[in-house]
Amino acid sequence: MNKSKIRLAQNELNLLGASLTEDGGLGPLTMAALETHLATRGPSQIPVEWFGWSKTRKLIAFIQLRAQDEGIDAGTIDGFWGPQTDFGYGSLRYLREHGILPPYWRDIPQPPARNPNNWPDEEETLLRAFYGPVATHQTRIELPYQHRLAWNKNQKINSFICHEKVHDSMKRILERVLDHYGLDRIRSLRLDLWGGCFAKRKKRGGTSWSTHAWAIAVDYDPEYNRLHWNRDQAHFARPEYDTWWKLWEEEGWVSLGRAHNFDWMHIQAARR
Amino acid sequence: MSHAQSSQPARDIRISRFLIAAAAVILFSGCRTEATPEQAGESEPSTDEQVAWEVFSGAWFEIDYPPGFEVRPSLATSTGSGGFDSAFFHSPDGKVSFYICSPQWSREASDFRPVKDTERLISSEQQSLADGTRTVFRIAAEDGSYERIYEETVQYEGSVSWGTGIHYLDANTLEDYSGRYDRFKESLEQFSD
Repeated sequence: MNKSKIRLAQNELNLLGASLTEDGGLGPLTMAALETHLATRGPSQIPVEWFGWSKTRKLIAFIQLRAQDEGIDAGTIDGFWGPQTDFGYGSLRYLREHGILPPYWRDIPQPPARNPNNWPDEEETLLRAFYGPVATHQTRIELPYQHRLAWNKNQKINSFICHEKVHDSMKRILERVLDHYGLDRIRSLRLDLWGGCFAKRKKRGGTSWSTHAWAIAVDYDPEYNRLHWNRDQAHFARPEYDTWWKLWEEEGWVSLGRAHNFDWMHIQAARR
Repeated sequence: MSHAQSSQPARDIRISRFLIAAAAVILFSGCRTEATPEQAGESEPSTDEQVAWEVFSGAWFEIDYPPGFEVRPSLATSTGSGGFDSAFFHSPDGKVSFYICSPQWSREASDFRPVKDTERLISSEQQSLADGTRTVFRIAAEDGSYERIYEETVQYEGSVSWGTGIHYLDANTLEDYSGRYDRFKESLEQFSD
């Protein structure tokens, strides 16, 4: 558990009447205050067996509870740090720093500049009007250069399923990528590590269908460009990828990393 | 006119029959709600329908699990930010464990799928789905101490894969927990980015 999370918990305990030094250490005073507070919560708020949990799990459960107190959905109060808890922690921290809750980052469309293919805004009714219902109108794109599966780099693919309306644009882009970088550079930059394109699923961290449900988005190199990584961590934020992004953006595709500084693996034919 | 005269008693009889039937239904349903726990257990043996289940939130999925089961997250995600792609759920009596592996796209369920040296593969049956295949692996311990099942679903030409599993002592345990295992599987909700 890193210090900033413990510090937030100490701050929350102080707001509830404790007098802790906010030093980011999970010492006996912090633990005593934490357990005293958890003991005030009924079984409808936290499982009764919480007292047998580890220190870390108690701390996480406390952060989940405090987020919940503020109307933030931090997931089930179970003391496990999953993505929903991460969302709850980030929102709670933002609330304490700014005095207001953050905007829900997965649901706010902000269109960038060029859009020669007239890709629609990422709003479900507009996406349905343009692309049809989710999981329909699919076709196969034959790749100008071989891709490797990101989760099994020994397995190579020469094609994948995408939406028929994005097929031609995607093909042009990948041909230009090959022309510009060449195969060796593509491989060394991991531009051939394919995460996936089509999956009929809702978004993690949002309430609507993922653009992957229409097969109008592609993930590349997810391991080095994780969902919540920002430009300080994501490889695709580095200068050597500027042309890669320029080639996509010339066709109106949107990199969530470039536009919003998260989910750098993901590029989509929808504006936000 | 004659028709009206003859239909009045018949209608009274029908109303009387309806009232008797309704009373019987009310009486019968009242008896059911006051059934002994054993009787209630016979009608709903092991699905815990009346008890709220817990929710486990993985990196790219959520799944419900029975109250009292102990959660053990297993494979950390390599594409999300924190959280897990797989988890085990152990029953309080130690007789059964449920398992889920549901990554963002695909990965090998290395913590459950492989057949160990101390095990043997009993069967492997594949069925076609509209968008892929489902393969059911039945595995048993060589010493007969347990059995397990892994159900692997591969979709969209292999770009998506995930699986659920159950580890159990014997056929009786499997039967006892099958309702809860079905509910566990059906509750799975998967997410993308």
